Amino acid sequence: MMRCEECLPFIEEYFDGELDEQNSKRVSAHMSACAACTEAFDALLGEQEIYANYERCVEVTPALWQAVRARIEERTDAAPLLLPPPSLLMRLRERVAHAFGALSFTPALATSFALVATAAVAGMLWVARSDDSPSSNLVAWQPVFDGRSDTFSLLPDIRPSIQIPFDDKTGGADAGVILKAGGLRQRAPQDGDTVARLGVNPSNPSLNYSRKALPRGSVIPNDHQMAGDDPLLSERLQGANRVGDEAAFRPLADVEETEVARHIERAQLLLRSFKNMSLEEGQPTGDVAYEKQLSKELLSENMMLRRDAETVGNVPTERLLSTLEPYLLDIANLQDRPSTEDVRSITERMKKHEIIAALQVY
Amino acid sequence: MMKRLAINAMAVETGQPDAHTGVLMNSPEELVERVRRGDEEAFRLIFERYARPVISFIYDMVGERELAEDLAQETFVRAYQHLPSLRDDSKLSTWLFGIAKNVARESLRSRPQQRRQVGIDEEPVMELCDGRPSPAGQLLDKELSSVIQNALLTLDEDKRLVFTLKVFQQRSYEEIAEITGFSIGKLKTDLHRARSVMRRRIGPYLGGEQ
Repeated sequence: MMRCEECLPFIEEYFDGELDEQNSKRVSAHMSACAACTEAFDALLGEQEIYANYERCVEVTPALWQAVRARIEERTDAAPLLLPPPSLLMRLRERVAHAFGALSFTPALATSFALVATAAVAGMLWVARSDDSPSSNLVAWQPVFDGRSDTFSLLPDIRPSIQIPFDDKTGGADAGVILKAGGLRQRAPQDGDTVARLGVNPSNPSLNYSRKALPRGSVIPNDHQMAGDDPLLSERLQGANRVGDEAAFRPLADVEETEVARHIERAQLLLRSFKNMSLEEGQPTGDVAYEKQLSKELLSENMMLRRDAETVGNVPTERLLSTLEPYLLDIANLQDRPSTEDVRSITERMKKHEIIAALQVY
Repeated sequence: MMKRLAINAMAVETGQPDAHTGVLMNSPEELVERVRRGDEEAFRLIFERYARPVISFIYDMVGERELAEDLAQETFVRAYQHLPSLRDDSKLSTWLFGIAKNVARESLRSRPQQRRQVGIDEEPVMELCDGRPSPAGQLLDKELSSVIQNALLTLDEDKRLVFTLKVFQQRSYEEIAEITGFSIGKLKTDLHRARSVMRRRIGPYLGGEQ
């Protein structure tokens, strides 16, 4: 039989329609007999109704479309950073001419493309010549699909080209570019390589960058055009300048540790504030409505973080959060103006088990 | 837009040859394929279908109308440029929102810090859509909208991102993870916290103690 403490952390997921079937049934069954959890669910419903009335001062007008067209025309007139192969260039020319009817590639534009292509080749040769030296630049770029089923070629008509094998069949292998010190090698990705994902792979949305293959000090160009505006790659490279840049390549686990640390800090402040309440025999205690509300919020968060810690096997964090939870529950369940005995029983336990000290040490 | 859809629907029903099939009749895959073949009309249909949610999302992130319009234009221009590289055509919407997210974040990071956030105790600044007098009920809605908008701006970027994608754009956790690159665990935590903050700000409109 599900208890409130088990049900409450699931309420938001249940409301969002994201909870698995088994737990959904349990939550549904529990709510049919529990006013408190039903109230929590109804509160979310009330909020959603409020948000449904949110009006923004934005409109989609024909002028917006015209502005988009004008920008596209403007951009396709300039030399692109990455030169597509000539055959694709011809298709692009036809596409643009068909789409906008006014643009045509002039000899001057063709010359510009040639200059950019030459610069690109020179850059590639420079990168390719560098061996595995830690100071070599790493380059991420968007490969151009050359029409074959299993390989991408970069500038296939300009030698040398780098071919990166891509396995579309498994759906799990990452297509794209190898980021590796010392330039590119014509080979398949191997264990330990860092591979940038290009294009969204719905079967594996999270990214894990391996830092092993990237020596510290290697420079990554912070260039979104070269990253191809891939939603995931751009985000990861944004702001990164060097390998070892902790902010840019922080593993996902660190993010969650920061969340726990923030939660612990807030809980600590709450318990301190609660412990410092002045208690005098025969005198009523103060209004603890704020502490109750805060404790309820922290309780939900605590349950979620505890479950996450349990899932990833982070035993110390899971233990600390388990120790903290009963205090949050007791404070959340107090009357608005609790009796002295009720408050004292909580503060005595806090003192006995040194919970505040334990939170401080985390 | 509605008139166009009605006309398109009629054209299809009458079986006219070369009838313009309209927004509703084209799947994302079909539209993307047509754009790749150089069909400008297909891209315009993509724009018509997704412009409103995209600009709404960007507006929620940056909080300024003109800026949101400018960034929405940039989003669609980038989408046009990079459409050939879209790997899974059925994920067009997720992909578009990924670009919109990048564009919005680039803009936020390039702006001075003090302009980006509204203090929690500040009076809400109402950006009125027009200066015409409104009935009392609409004034309340406008005030509420302003409160919501300002409350959104008190959230840090990650939480604002997750909150708008879930609550306003009704995206699934999986889609939000794809768009943002966040783990499911992080986005659930951020969403929970964002809801708490928003709840405090819109509390007076909820009609009861939360």
